[in-house]
Amino acid sequence: MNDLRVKFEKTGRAAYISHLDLMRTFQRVFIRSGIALKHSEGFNPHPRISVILPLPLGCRGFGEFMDIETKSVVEPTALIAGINEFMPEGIRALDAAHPVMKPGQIKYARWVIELLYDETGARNHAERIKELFSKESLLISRKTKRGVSEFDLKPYTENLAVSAEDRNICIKGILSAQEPSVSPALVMNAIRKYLPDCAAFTGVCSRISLYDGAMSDFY
Amino acid sequence: MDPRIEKLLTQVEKPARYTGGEYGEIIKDKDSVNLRFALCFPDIYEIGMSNLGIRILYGVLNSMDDVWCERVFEPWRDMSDLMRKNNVPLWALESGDPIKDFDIIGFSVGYEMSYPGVLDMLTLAGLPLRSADRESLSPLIFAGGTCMYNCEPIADFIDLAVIGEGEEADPELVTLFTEAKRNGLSKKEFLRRAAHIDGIYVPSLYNAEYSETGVINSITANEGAPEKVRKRLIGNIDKSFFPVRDIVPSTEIVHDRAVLELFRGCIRGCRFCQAGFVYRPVRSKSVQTLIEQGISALKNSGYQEISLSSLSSSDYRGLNELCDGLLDYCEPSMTRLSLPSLRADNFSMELMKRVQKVRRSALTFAPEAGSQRLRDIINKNITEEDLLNSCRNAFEGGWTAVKLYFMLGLPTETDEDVLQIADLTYKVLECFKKYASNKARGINITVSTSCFIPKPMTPFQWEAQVDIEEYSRRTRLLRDRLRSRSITYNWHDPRTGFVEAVLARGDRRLAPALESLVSRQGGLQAWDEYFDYDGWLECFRKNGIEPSFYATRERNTDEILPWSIISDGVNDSYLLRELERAKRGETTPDCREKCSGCGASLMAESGVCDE
Repeated sequence: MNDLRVKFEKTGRAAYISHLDLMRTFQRVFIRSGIALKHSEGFNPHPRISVILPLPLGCRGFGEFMDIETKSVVEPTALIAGINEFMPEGIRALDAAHPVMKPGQIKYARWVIELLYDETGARNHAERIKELFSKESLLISRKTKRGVSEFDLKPYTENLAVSAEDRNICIKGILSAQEPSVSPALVMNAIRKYLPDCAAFTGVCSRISLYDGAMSDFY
Repeated sequence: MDPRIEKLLTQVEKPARYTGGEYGEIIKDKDSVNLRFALCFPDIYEIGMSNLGIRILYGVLNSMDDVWCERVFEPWRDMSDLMRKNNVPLWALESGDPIKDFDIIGFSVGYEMSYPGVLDMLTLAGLPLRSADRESLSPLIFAGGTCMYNCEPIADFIDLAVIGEGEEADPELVTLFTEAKRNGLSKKEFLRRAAHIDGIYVPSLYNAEYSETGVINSITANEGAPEKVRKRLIGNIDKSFFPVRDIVPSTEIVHDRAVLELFRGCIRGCRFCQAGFVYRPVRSKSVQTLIEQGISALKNSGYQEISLSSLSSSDYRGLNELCDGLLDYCEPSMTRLSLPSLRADNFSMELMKRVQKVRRSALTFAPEAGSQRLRDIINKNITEEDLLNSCRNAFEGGWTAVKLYFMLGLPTETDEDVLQIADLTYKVLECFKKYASNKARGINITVSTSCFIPKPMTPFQWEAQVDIEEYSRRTRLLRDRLRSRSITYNWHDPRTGFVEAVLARGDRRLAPALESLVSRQGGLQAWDEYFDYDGWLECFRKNGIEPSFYATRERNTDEILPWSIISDGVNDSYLLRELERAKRGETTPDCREKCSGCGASLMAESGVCDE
C-alpha cells in the first residue's frame, strides 16, 4: 500500500526540463523532503519513480502523473505538501492517490497548441488551418525507430477546434496518446508542410489531461 | 518568460541551460533592490555551474540585502546564432532581463582560453567592448579569477580587475559603487577611488612603454594609483561563507554533486603550478565545520555524491577524521564520497579503499614527468617507488584502471625524459601482472600528456615554451613506445597550448587581435568544435602580433613583466631562487617540513600559514 500515483503540473520554465533530467530532479526532491522511496534491488539500486508518458521537451503539462513507491506509508496530503516545498519553479504536485488504472490503458490526451506569430494576420491563417483539418486525410512524414515513413495523422486526431486573435492561433483537441503516440509537433509539422505561408509561428503546447479508451480521466 | 526568449528556446539543444528556475535560485523584487549584479562565467552553463567560485560569489553577493546577483553563462553556438539573428540581447537567468541594463557585470575568469568568451558575451549583451568606449558609470564591467594575475590581454576591455579572493573584495567594491551611483559620480572618478581598495587593479590608470625589441621599458601608475596591487584573501576561511543552501541544476552539469572545500593554498610548491603559488598561504577549515557543511549541503540539495576539493587533499591534516564523519552520514543514505587530488602514498590508498566500497572509478595519479631528474626540476615530490607501491596496493585491492597524467615540454626535457614516461607506464603494467587480485579482467592504463604552459607568478614565468613542431615530435616519440592493448594514450592539441601560452603571458598589445578573433570566430575557444588555430594566427598577423614572442621566448630575469604591478604576496626573489634551484635539479621541501620563506605568511591573519 505504499504505491502512490502523484498528479503534477510542469509549466513555465520547467517545460524545458527533459525527461531524464526530470527523473533526476524528482529523486533529489524526495531526498530533500525526507520522504524515503523504495529502491530497486541489484548492483546499482535506483529509487522507484516512474513518470507516465513523459512530455516532449518544451511542452507544458497540467495533468501529469508519476508512480512512486515509498518506504513507509505516507498520507497523500502530507506527501503533496512535503514535496512541493522542495520543487524547482514550475513543478507542483496537485494530487496523490493509490493508482487504479494501468498506464497502458491511456489512449487519448487533450492538448492546447498555441501558434504565436510576430506579424498580425493570424485570423486568416486560422481559416486555412480549419480547412486543412477538415480534409479526409493528413499525410505527413514521421520518424520512427524503423526510419522515416508516411503517416496519416487524421484518424488519430479528434475535434480539433481552431480559434484566433490578431497574432495567435489556438488549437484545442484530442490526440492519440499511445499506439500510436501523436505529439503536437506532428500537427505543427502538418501545418508547415501544407500551409508554408502560415508556418512563421512559435508553437507553445500544453497537455491538459490524459484519458483511457472510454474518455474517462486517467487516475 | 519573455516570449522573445521562449521563441529561441524551442529551437536549441538543451534549452534548460538558458531558463533558470532551478531549485535554490534566488529571486528578489527588482524594484526594491539598489543594485543589479550580473555574475558572468565565460563558458557554458554546465561548466559554469560546476565552478565553486561562482557559487560562493552568488551566495555572498545575494547576502547583501540591496543587491540582486543573477547568473549569466556563455550560450552555445546554436543559441548565440539565434540571438544575433533575432536581436535578442544576452539575459540573466533569474529575471530574464538583458544584462546591458544592469549596474555591475562581473566575470569570473579561470582559464585564458575563455578570454574570447568574455568578449563574446559583451557583444551578445549589446555593449561596446572597450572600457574607453563605455562612458557612463553603469554598467561597470570587471573581472576576477585566477587569470587576473595577468589580466593584460583583456585590460582594455574591463574597467577593473579584482586580484585574489572575490568573496573578500567584491562586497567592498559593490558598496563603493552604490555610493558612487547615489552621488552621481563619473565613471572616471569612481575608478580613481576604486583603485584604492586593496586588491583592485584599474588598468586604465597604468600605461606601459615598450622598447624597440618589444619588451616593456616601463609601466607608470597615473593619477595616484598604487605602484603595487596586492591580492585580497580570506583571513579566516573556517568562518567564511560557504554555500550549503545552493542552486541544484535541473539539467546535468559536469560536476553534478555537492562539494566541500578543505583548504586553500597548497604546501607542495610544484614549480609549474600557478594555483600552488597564487593561493598561498595555506588556510584550512576545521573538521567540525566541514562535516557540518557537508551534511547540510547534502540534505539541502538531495545530491547523492559529495566530493572533497582542494589542490592536494591528502595534505589535509584531519582527512581521516573528516572521512569518518562524512561516511557516518553517507553510508546509510547511499551517498558516494569521492576523493580526487590524492597523493600516491599508502595512507591515501587505504583511505580510497575505505570510501570507495562499491563503485570503483579509475585511480588517478599525476607524476607530471617520467624521470626522477625532471620531477626534481619541477619539484613534484613523488617517487617511482611511491607510485608503484600505491599501484600494487590498488591492484591487490581489485582496481583495474589507472590514469596517469604527465606534461610534455617541461624545462630541460630531453627525449630520455619523454621515453621514461613509457618506462614508468610499463612498470605499472608489470605491477598489475604481478600483483592483481583479478588478473583475468585485464587492466586499462590511460596515459595523458598535456602541454607545459609557463604561467605568471611561478618560478617558470621566465621560461620558453617548446614550439608546436617539437611538441608534436615528442608526442609521436612517446606514442610509438606506448603500443599495448592495455594502454591508451591521449595528448592535448599543442596548438591550443600555444595560444594559451600567448594569452597567459600576454600584454595589452593583444587586445586588437582578440577583437578580430571574436568578430571572426566568436567565443567557445576552449572547445575543439570552435577552436580555429588558423583563425588565431590570422588575427595575430593582421594586428602585427608575433605570437612566438609571448610563447616560446625565454625572458631575462630582469625583464619587466606585464604583470609586474600585481603581487600575490610571494616575493619575486623567492621565485628566482626557486628557478635557480630548478636549474640545479634541487628540490624544495614542502611548507610543512620547512618554511622556505616565500613571503606569503605575511598575508596570513596570524602571520603563520598552515596552522
